Amino acid sequence: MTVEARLWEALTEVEDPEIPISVVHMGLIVAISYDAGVVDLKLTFTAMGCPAMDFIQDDIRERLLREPDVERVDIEVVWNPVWTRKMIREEARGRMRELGIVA
Amino acid sequence: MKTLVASLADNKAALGRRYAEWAVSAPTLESAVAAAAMAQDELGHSRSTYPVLKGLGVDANEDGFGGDKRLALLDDELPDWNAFIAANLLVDGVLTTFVASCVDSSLEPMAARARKILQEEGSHRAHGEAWARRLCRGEDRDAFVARLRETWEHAGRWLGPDDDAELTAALQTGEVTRDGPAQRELVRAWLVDLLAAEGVAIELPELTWEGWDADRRRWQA
Repeated sequence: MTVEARLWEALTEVEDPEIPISVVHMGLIVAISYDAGVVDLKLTFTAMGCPAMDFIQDDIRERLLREPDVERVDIEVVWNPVWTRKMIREEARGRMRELGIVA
Repeated sequence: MKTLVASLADNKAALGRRYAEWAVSAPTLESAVAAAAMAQDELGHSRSTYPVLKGLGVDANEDGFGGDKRLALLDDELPDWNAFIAANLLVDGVLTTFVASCVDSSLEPMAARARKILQEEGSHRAHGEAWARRLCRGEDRDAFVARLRETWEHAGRWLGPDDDAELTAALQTGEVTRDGPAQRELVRAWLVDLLAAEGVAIELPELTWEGWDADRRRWQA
């Protein structure tokens, strides 16, 4: 497993604070790259006014820093591609429906 | 483009604040919730736009909300619900039309944000249009039309005179893809058609340029 693949896997443990679905399954992680201990992560949000932006970034950084090869996490918030419901992963939709959320 | 982007961000911050003030006193519970949601969107758009300025070499506070390049109309609370809907239609309308002209901007950070802003503005427009129809059918119609005319005096001028130096330069460099007069006409025609469908004829005031402050992109009566 590559380091990047392991980082994606680790982020499935980080949930959106408003919905118990991971940031990966919500489609918020746009890209992850890794080089010499530094993670460059591109992140988007469902809305520009998302009140949980800081919490989500803190949770992502904290989780990735627990990985043995990671010394620093640089997060860039991007708005392209535009997040839509289509970016929610299929495996998360059943869980959302159970919660009464249209996905 | 620097003044336009700064003023876009400052106006969105101010509009967010003005919307938020109605989140506890709108005429219906649904509209109070909508006012809160739209306020949150506007503050998010503002916060997300300030980093574009930083990329242009302007020392902008990324938390925003401190700039003064806002419409004079937004200096104080919107005085009544007619004024709220007029701002929803025309202030939001003019700013969104400008953002739409940035979707293919050569200023990449602005282009990257424009589509997301437009996605979120769709519901603002739907809210404004629905309330416009409702107000045109009720006893507040004349007062609403008066507020629209007042609001146009400010919002219509935001794009500047037809030969506005900032917008002309932005057009030449591909930072915007539609000129000011064309943007203004889009908003004017949309509003006139919206009201005409309800049997209301509105003649928006001709805009003159005494009292226009190009540095702050605002007009003071």
